[in-house]
Amino acid sequence: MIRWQELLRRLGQLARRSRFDRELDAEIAFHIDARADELVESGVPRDDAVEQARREFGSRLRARESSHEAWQFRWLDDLRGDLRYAIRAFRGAPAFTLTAVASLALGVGASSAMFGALDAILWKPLPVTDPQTLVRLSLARASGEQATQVPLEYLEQVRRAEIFEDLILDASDGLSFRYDDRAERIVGAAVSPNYFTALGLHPALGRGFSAEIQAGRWTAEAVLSYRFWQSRFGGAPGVVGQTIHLNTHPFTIVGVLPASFYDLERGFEPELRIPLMPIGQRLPQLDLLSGSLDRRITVIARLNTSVTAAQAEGAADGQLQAWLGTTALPYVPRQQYRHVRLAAVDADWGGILSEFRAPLLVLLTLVALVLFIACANVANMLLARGIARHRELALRASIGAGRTRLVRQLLTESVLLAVAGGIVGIAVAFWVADALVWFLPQGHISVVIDFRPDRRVLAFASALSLLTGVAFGLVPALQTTRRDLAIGLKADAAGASTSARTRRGLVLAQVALSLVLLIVAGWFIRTVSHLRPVEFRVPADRVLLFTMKPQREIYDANRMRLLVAELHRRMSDLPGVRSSALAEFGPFGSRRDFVPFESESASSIRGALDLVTPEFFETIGLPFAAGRDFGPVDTLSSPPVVIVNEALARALFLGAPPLGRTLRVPGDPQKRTFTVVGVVANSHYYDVRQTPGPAAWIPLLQETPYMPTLHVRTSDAGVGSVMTAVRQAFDATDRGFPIFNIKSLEDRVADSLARERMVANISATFGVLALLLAGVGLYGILAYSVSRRTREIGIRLALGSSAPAVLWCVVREAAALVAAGAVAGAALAMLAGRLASPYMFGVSTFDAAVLAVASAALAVVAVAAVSIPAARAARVDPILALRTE
Amino acid sequence: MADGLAPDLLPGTLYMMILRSLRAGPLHGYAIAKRIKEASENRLVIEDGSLYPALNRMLVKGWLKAEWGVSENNRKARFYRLTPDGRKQLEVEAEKFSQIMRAVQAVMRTA
Repeated sequence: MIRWQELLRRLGQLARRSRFDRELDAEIAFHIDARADELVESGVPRDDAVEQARREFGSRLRARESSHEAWQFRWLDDLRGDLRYAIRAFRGAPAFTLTAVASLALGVGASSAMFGALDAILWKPLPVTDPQTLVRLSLARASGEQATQVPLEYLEQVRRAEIFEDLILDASDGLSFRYDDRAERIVGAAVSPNYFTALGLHPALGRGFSAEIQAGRWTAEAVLSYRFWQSRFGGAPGVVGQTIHLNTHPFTIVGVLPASFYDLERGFEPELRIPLMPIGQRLPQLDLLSGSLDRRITVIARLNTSVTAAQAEGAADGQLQAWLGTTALPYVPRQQYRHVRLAAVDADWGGILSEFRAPLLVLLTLVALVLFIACANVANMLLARGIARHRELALRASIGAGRTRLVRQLLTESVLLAVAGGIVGIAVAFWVADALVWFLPQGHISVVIDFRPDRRVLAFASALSLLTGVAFGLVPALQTTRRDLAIGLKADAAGASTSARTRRGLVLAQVALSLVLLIVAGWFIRTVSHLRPVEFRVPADRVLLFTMKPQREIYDANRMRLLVAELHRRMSDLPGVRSSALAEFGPFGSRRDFVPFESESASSIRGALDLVTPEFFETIGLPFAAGRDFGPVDTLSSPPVVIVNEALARALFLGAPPLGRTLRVPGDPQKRTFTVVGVVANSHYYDVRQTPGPAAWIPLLQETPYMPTLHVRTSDAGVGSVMTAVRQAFDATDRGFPIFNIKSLEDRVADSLARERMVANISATFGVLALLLAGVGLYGILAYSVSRRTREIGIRLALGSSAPAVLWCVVREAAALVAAGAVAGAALAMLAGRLASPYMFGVSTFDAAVLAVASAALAVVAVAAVSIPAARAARVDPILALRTE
Repeated sequence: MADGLAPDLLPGTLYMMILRSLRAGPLHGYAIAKRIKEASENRLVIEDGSLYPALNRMLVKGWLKAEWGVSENNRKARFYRLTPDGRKQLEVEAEKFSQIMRAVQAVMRTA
């Protein structure tokens, strides 16, 4: 009790050090003056009195120092001593120290980066006011997914009922942005005027929407995201007040958001935000802004402090039932709305990043294994050192150091190692975070997320390294100090068997776990290589893609078709272009369409549907099995036609020749009947993970293009020159719409496999790392055992043992360890395979090639790790070995 | 100074004497030293340099509290006051000390 208060007093003192010094000085000065005054009274002259008082007091410095010491912690001094001692010990063993710090840095760094990525995706609170009171309102339907786009008419009713403190509306879409020269595509968000105030966002520059807008009088203002401000305007402060054009309408930039804020949806960030228009108003060029009551929009609500989420959900549901009874909106019956659902704003609701959650969790597990291997390695090295330092520790014990004191000394060393590892690890974490970002796919909507380690990651890394320091330090520390230390003074050979067992166990675990990592890496490498669209006859890097988005509000359907036809025509004149075509979606894009198809003989065969121009199949290299391509004859006024693949033909026409037969698409608003004019080979189309299935294509020029992609198949000539020529052709045709997402088909396939590539690359990297660490562990244990058995080996050789026999007796130990570790690792991998199999394609958990390659890699590293100590054993000179003791 | 005895002949005696001199009321550091010197008829002189470390150690233990006040000649000075813990400690120390003294005297008389 008393001690506890004492500790508090001492701690309080730490914070007041400088005041303490001042006060003590004042006190001593007073003391000396008082004594001097007294002497003056007794008749001593003033100067002599002061002199005498000072002399009597003695050393003021010493008084000050000892007064300080009274407040200090003894353990702090001990710690300083321990640290000094530890640093000296590490300086004496640089190879050990470097290996240990590097192992820990990799383990801690990689784990921290993975934690950071998961934190950014799942856990980090949104940088807005009270994020826990924000909920996402959606409507559950009779069947199918919940509707996250909620009718504005209903939301108006909810707003009037004052169920929530705030309703924040948010709609985003691609916009045509023009600042200086040509149109670019950006993603803009139309948000309710209360957006910035309700979320408590303070702009980094300028302001949010004006009070006028918030009072319901719309003006054309825009607030930029921090990153768009940086990338497009170079972070210029003069940007506030400038005019930009969105879909040709002028907007004034009024502010820039802070860097910490992206969006309420993780992984997404619009380039700018503009105010939604009041109810009933709209801007012809920008449908996104519409305040029309029949539109649907995403809504985030802030709960009133006085009600629970369940009560608010009930109240909003009551409003929904009332509204469903009165509304006249034509689409409402089709949507089959049933109930209101409120979910936490950052709950998983299938956002842009949800597909990365599982792989990141898998990687976090793998990385935790690497960290464990690294810790095992360091623990192993510490154990070995502990045995080597047995004499030294015994000596310290014999001159009075208690066991706790020795354990503390050893723990100080391991924590110091861990801290050094943690510091380097933070650098590693930055590097790994960059690598993770590199794997994020960039489709027509960018994935924007900050994986860079922040304060939370740094805190995690610090805690982790301290924890590992204790974890890998404690066992060796206890074991090293456990044995009767007095024995140590006599001979260091005795009593080492328990620690040898621990060390062998650790190496076995390392071998097993690194084999697991290698096997997992193998599965995913096979998965990625298996997930290649092999059916296309044109190398994917020869097909260039340019996505264009003429705004619907500005380019009507006819103009769009003319534009598409004109672009297609211009391409054929360009040198280096073998063929070209436009497709609304195209293979492996981030947009896709699956619909049911019907024929007279079969109904509802689901398949992929795309809208394409002539030459499409030639451009991407999909061969015709029968019939013809689309051509100039297929126009708006000609009969509707369709090209199907063999799978759809077989499913719909049950083996009958498909050419000339008809099919319908139940969702088609014009209820057309399409005649089959061509059949192409089966292929993967939208998703490389799905087996090739039914697919159909209809002429883009018989439809309304929305955001088509130009596919250009280049000849062998340089891709770069074609790229420039195509851009020039776009400019010559029309500069009024943006072209974006320019890449090769190869890149697009790679993007669609981002998840698998991320797991494959990272697990392979870590697998190799783990293997190297295991190799170091194996080397360490053998090198140590050879050095300890030098004498024994010397005797054996002296007694006539042959060098190979000695060699065998060293290698035998290693071979047994590796074999046992490999068996355990393979068994563990089979267990892991059950978890990983949903993400594996075209490869089984028992894949012989993967097992063989992983085992071979293990064998190579094991041989390398063993051969150095083995060679040293074979070189032992019996005379020398027996002489040195 | 040379004629004074060292005050901490036995461990803890300095603390005990400081506690005792504060029993009547708060004093500043110089007054404590003076009180001990006068009470011992100039035989015990605390080396001034060791007074303040001792006072600080006693603050840590919680036997004393220190606060700034005004001295008899109107200067700012730091006054030390006994806490209840300090009072208890004084009794314990005094009792221990007299036991030791009796024991030592007994040895000196008989042995």
